Amino acid sequence: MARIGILSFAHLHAESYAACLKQLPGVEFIGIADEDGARGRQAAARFGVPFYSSYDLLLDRKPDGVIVTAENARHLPLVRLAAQAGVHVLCEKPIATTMADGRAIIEACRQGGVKLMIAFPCRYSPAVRAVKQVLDEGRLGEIYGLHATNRGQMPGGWFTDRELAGGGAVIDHTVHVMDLVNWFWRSPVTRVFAEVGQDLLWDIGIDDSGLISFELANGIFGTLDTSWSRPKVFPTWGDVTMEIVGEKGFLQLDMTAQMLQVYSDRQGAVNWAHWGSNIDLEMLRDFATICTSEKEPSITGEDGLSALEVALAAYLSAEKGEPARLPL
Amino acid sequence: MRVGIIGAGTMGLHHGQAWQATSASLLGFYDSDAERAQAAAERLGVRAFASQEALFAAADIIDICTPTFTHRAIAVAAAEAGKHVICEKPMALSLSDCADMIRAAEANGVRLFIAQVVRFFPEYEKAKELIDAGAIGEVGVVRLSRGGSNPGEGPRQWFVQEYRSGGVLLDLMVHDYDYARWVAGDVERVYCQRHLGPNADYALVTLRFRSGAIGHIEGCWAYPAGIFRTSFDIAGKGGLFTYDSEAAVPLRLRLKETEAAKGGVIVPSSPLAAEDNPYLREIRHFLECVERGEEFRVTARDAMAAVQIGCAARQSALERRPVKIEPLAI
Repeated sequence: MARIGILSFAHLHAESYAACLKQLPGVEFIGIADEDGARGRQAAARFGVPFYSSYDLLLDRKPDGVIVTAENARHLPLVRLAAQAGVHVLCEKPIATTMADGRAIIEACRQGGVKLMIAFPCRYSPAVRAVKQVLDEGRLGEIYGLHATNRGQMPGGWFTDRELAGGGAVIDHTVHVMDLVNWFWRSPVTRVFAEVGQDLLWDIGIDDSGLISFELANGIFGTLDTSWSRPKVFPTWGDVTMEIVGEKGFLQLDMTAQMLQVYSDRQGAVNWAHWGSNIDLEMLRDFATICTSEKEPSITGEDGLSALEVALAAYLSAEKGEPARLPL
Repeated sequence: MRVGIIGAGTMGLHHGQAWQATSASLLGFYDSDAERAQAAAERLGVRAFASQEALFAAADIIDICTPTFTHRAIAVAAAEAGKHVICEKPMALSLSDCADMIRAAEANGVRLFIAQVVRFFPEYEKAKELIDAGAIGEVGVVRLSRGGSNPGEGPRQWFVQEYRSGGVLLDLMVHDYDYARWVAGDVERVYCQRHLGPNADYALVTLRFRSGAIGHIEGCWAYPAGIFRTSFDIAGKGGLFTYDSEAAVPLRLRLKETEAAKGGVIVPSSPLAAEDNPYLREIRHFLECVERGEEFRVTARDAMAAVQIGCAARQSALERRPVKIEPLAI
């Protein structure tokens, strides 16, 4: 039995993770700790689990692992607490808002002797795994490049607060796809050029759009669109897409395409209902195993740092109007 | 108006068929390959001309459907012979060639139109019309994509020869540079990453518009045979368009046996009423503007500005840095 708790309900992904913890066999969802008492209490009541008014109180219950779903800039203190308490950590993406914080998170877990995993659920998508297999088998031959999107609706809340989020659309939507790129080729990003837009789509005073061009050490190049370019009426939250072009053909990934198109007069709207596999569930199943066995996380703190570095390089490039070289 | 077409390849035939549906009179074709001119002429029931000069002598309008590297010389000669000119895209391979063409037309008092046909494709035109009506608010992020298999097989090898066609960056993507300018205005910065090999040409271009908007243009000549696809995704301050040629398909015919795919340019065709054919609408527009003395929907300077973006993209890919676009000096 893996005993797992949630530290902070600030990130909207906590909602899905909590639902997964409730339904996973072999997992005891021990509760939610949140410094925002109202938010935490409501969530705990919704999921029928205990609420803890401080993170230490939850950690005193000796969980096997915790999920840190605080705001991006607040991961470090919570990861530190967990690591010091000897509790394994699943940290929401991006790992942090600065390279220094990201490195401190990795170091804290190393010193605490706990496992650190970064929440990149796309790696658990069956469609993404099929892409990985096509690439590993070399079926596309030499790869020339790829263009990808991780677009979404504008999330609002602290996601548009520079202090708490570390930026806007670019930091929010760079890391998922760049982690997949890292996983597929295991070749570091060496160069980033970005066109970042502010107030192009929403008047919120922070970047709401980004087009990132990147090069890998192995010669593959690509682009990623991180824009919050899906309007409020868009029938789903956004997308994760990739087209990879190679010598022997190309592949198109539309990770969330397993949707039912729902036209409901009763709901007064059109929406797309996802029926594909629940990738959060698969990720948490893996985390539960990692917490209670010798298995090491396949998504490491270093992976989290690599993805963050591209987002930070994009901001740097946009500020200077020229390519940024990595490592930063 | 009497029309002569130079270049009796795929585009020459498309234009020829379109001309025959207008009030103008299609005289015939000239092609440096006399047999090809003869074949096209027979197909459309018109004459094959033995020389460019003979065609110039007979026509009021010269329609240039030859490979891009020949555009400047033919267009300048036609203008100097006092003929109105319609010329396939891309306008030319360099800004100085474009400028020569514009100057020759202006000096000789003739009209010069570059066939940026995407402005006459109904899906692109509809999006522009809705943008102008405010449907998605101010344009913020423009994504345009166009791709097919490598067109350089067999006799059409000039297509993939960079110095003759401009490659994917000019020949294919010039459509989207022009459309991007139509919906989002002038461009100030271009960045490009590209794979150019013997059998593939693939480029990813990002744009910064003077308005502050950003753009992504993808061009690909690396798909398996038989594929040609276009798509766009244009987001503004209050809405979004999405279009994918592979989704907007009213008819799918799937036979158990198919003829082996033949090499060559695939001209996109979604079934439209005859009068809505983009090539016909483009040629009608040209003819009407010439007859009425009106401004074209896409001016020669617009076409030159699109070439400028392609040249900047090539420079960016070579030098691996963003390239600034200066206002045209003509």
